[in-house]
Amino acid sequence: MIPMSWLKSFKILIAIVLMSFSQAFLAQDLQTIVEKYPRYNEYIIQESQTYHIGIQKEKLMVTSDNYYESMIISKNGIHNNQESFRYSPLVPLVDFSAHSMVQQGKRMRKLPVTQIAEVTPNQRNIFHSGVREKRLTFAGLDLGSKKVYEYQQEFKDPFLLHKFIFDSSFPAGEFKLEINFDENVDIGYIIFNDPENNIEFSKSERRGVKTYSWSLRNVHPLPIESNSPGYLHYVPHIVFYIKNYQLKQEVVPVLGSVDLLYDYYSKFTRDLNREEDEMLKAHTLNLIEGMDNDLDKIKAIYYWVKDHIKYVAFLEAYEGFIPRDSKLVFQRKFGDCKDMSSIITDMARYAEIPNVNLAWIGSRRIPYLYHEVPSPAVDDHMIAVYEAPDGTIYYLDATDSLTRFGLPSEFIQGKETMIEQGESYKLITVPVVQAEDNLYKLKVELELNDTLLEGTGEISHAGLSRSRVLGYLGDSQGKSRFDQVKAFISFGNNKFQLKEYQESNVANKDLDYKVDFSFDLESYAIKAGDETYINLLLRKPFEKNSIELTRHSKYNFDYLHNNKYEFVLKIPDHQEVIFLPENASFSNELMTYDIQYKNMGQHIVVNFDIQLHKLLIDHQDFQKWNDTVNELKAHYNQNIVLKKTQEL
Amino acid sequence: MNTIQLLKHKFYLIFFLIPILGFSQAALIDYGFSDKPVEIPEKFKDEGEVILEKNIKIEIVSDDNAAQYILTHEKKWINSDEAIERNNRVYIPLRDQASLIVNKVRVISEDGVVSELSSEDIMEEIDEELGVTYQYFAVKGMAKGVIIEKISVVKGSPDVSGLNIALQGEIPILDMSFELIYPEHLVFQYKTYNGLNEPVLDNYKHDNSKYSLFIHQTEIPGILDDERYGNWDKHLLRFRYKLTQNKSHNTHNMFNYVDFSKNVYDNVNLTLDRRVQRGISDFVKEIPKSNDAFEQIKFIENKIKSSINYNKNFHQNQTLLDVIRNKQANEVELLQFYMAVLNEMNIESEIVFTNKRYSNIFDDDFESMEQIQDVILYFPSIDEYMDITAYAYRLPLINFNYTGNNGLFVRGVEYAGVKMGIGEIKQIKVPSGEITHDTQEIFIDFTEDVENPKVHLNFAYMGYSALNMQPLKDFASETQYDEILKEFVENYSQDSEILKLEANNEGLENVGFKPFTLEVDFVGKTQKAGNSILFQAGELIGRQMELYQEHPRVLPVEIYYPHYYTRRYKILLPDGYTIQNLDDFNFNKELFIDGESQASFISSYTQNANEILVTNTEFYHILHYPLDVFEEYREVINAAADFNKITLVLNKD
Repeated sequence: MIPMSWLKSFKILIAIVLMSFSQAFLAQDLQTIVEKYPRYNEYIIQESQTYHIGIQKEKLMVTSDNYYESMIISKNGIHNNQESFRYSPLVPLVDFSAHSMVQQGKRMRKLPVTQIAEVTPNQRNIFHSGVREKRLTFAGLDLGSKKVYEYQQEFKDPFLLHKFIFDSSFPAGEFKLEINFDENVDIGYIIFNDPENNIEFSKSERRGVKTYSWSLRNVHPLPIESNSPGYLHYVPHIVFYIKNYQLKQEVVPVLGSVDLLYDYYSKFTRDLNREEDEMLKAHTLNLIEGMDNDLDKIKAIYYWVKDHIKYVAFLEAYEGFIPRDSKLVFQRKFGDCKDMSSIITDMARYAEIPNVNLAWIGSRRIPYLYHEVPSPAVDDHMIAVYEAPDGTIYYLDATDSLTRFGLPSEFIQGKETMIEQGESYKLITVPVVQAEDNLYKLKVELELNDTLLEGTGEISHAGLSRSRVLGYLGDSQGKSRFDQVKAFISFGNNKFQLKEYQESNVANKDLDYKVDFSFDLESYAIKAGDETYINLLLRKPFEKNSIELTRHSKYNFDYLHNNKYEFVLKIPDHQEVIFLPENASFSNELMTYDIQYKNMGQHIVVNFDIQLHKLLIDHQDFQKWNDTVNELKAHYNQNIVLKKTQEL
Repeated sequence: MNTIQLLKHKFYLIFFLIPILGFSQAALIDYGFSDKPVEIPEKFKDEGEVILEKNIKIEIVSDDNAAQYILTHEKKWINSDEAIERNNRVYIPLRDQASLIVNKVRVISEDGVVSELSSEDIMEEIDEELGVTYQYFAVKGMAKGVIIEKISVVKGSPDVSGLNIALQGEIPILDMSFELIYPEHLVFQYKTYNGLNEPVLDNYKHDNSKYSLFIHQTEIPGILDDERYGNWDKHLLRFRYKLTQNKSHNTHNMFNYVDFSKNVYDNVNLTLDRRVQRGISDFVKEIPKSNDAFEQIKFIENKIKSSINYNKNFHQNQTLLDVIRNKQANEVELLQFYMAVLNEMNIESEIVFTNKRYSNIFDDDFESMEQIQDVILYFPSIDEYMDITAYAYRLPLINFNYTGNNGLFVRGVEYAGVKMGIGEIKQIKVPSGEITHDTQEIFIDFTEDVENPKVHLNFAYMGYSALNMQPLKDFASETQYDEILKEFVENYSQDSEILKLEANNEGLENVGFKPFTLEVDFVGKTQKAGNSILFQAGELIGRQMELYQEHPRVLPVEIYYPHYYTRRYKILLPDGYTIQNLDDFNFNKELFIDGESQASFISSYTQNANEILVTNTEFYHILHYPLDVFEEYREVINAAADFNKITLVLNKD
């Protein structure tokens, strides 16, 4: 445990620092804040995290003091009466306190928080994490009241420190990170998303303790934006880590290089799958029986794991880092990303396929490279990787049960991965799945009967487009399947009636998912007098993807879209085409499209191809993107015109 | 709320004081897996999962420590990945110090391999806020085609004040049984709903001191909870029961509403000491005064809701003074506080106990505690209701779940100088369609530029439909709110750049009082078709709910609240232009029940030179539309969705 005397003096120091701050703040006018941040219900006076890193009894000790003080700045703010903080077995809670400061006459009175509950936070997709949450309810709140809480945590593992985010959902006077570290300790840090250097840095040293401090003042909260690649891509934050510390005369390395990170990670995997499991071995051999090449074998193994191991994540403490033995995963038929990677690599071993290894990777919401952030903050996922003798690399992510062998899953495209190679490792960047591989095709043949459009269609999805649509459909049956299929097929307007449909290749990941269907569509063709008007671009991709020029984050797409449409309208008897819209063809570095209308005598055929070229649209491209989309929308606005011919 | 909390005298506890020996709960504890041969009937073979057997047994035991044992046995066939995902994680919540005394799970694979749950797989965590302990585990060996079988026995305090159990769900059940086992000195009242088989009373089935109520039903179809305007919960097979008599104590008619009303009235109308009374008086002084009864009650509601937080888990208040000081109150304290303020201001009120009509049935023929879990206030002087625990609802709006439902109305009646609580079951008023009456004024001016018409929208939302937007200003920052407004208007503005956007009467204090209004200007989007110009005028009323493609309807229609719309278009054309298809504005769909028009969509237009006026009304007057008028109801709903698709064709003469 941390020596209490240390904690105590540390707490006093914090209290003094904060006290002077609070008193200074009291002089400020509530009205000024309200005017500066209109219609917010709460204002954060200070949110800070103070680390203390030192050496105690020949051991590195890390603790943090966390402090939050806010003020209710609107009448409705009294309902913001709850706060919470989290801790876990690796970062346990040492101590905490909380109180409200409420106006009583002319004085502020301290009201301790008495309603405190320990709960398990709701963590999406994680079944068990060991993370707990203290939920504090502040009583007596009124306009001008304050909520204050502080808590101390110990970091049991100096490799696993938190990042500090300079943002919240309320405006803030100050966000502050302070790291006090022993002169025998060396730390590293990286600041993200502070292009104008608004985060103030200062450092000092006193009696063998160095202090680094970063502070950001007068912070407006960043808005939540649609199509955001994830908040770490735009919110100002610091990632820091311990590089090394000196114990007696010896320098003990911690983090700071990819080599050291790999050393740390490999401790979690070096004892994996030491024992042979006869059952799994027999199962594997049975699965690959009759196959004569490694590619077929690894594919069979990969598909079996995708289909039979369900995602259930147990992440308590080091469970979050240590893959489970394949034997257990096989028996349970469930596991997390590490467990799936473990069983794939082990089955490959039974199948005697060389070069199938574990690999660490960050999902796309983490914007770091390994050499940039050589700490566990750099990744959050594990896959298996197969390097074929011809040099082709296969990324085997069984948490995505739908994507075909040969393509990476959507959320690891373009990310760097660290592949285990025994004592060593390899860094490789996963490619972005090219638009050609994600081909989506829709062919519709229509007949016009007065104003009713009837017809048949054929839709096919390949690559990540296939994964996306099948992920949405799941394996629902009956009525709900019908409704879901209809929802992704339908076009024109919501009077689209799906009559019949036939799906193919649902289970065969190697083939394009296809649906043949028949439909009718009312109230889409418009009739006036002798003329009928039809907008034959029945699908209008990117129509709703205009970008606000003022947005903070880049504009994200999950995969590179590549759509090919063919709309064929039979020209009704006794009608003629009196107008066809102009053809259009366009290409820039963001997208390419081509729209062709043809009158074939009996039919009008419209071919419309469109491809997206970038996953992330950068700020400097926002205007260009909007111009491109606006131009495209002008083409979307065109109708063909049919007219009754004179009857003889 | 736990209604029992409101009772001063816990009269319900006396039933168990007769020691009984020789229990059969041992039989529940020893209940084993079922070895009945499994056969999935042909008609269920395409289902994602099928419950082969479901058996629930509840045994009430009355010895020195009265207890209740609930055995749940379920055997399921798993036939889809989605079913695996739904069934491979199990959470067992344990409330009020209940304990899980049996927990057996086994998975039988298609080739007969059995894997059983072992005790080290089970984890436990406590949610201190809810006072619930969860035992949870992931199920090993799940795959398509397996059978999962679960048996649990939970021991807890007897729950006999009233229980309503749904014995049907979305998944078909081949064989279902429910059994209530209890000592012979107790008498239970019960009722079945929606076609559940009547229970068989079998005395001494288990031993000579116990009675048994046994229900058995087979091939119970699953009802999918996916129909729009349906009330799924209300139409499931259900069983309701409560303890009504304890023969050994000669207690009859237990858990009745007469005693409840008396008791609750006393507990809620507190006698206040001088200090507390002074605190309440000071609080009342801060409430604005009005001679108008409606306005006065609204002022009270606004004051209390903006100064006291409803916090159901708060237990730190000793007196009503603490409520003022802590600005937090649980449901009982909040009710006591409202009564103290209303009494101080001499405003007559009744306390209404009810439940949500979308989650349970309020049966006026069955007095049980479980159907009076929620509380609202009724003010006879203005014939309106107040939803005291819901911050966003303001007089006269209450959660629509209570409207049209029954309620137990408790009022004070004076006998010989003493006020006593009297209860009466009545229907809670259904707000008329006029309460939620939206108007949409739409002005389209083609005169300056026929390809770029000027559009002006003037919308007013009232009552329940305003609730989606009206309160938001109080909760969102300026930027967030502007963003929300903008997104809301996108529903009408044809993806055009907004030139003007002005909202009025925003904020909670205007809810139920003034209409939330929006004024929007933009340049309308036209489409081109040769020489014609197309304008999607119908889009300006916003997207409409539709029932175009329906699977055979299972449940009757039940809507949230009656609703009325008035829409008016004014369209100005430049000289020399005509609209070819104005007749598209004509609609006349109406639904009659017993000769009265209960839903309708009517629209027509007039043209005077270059000016076209369109008038449309749409309304839904009642909450319930029986299954036999579903087609007509659908036509009215779809008329609105058809109107939304009107595209005008403009041509130069």
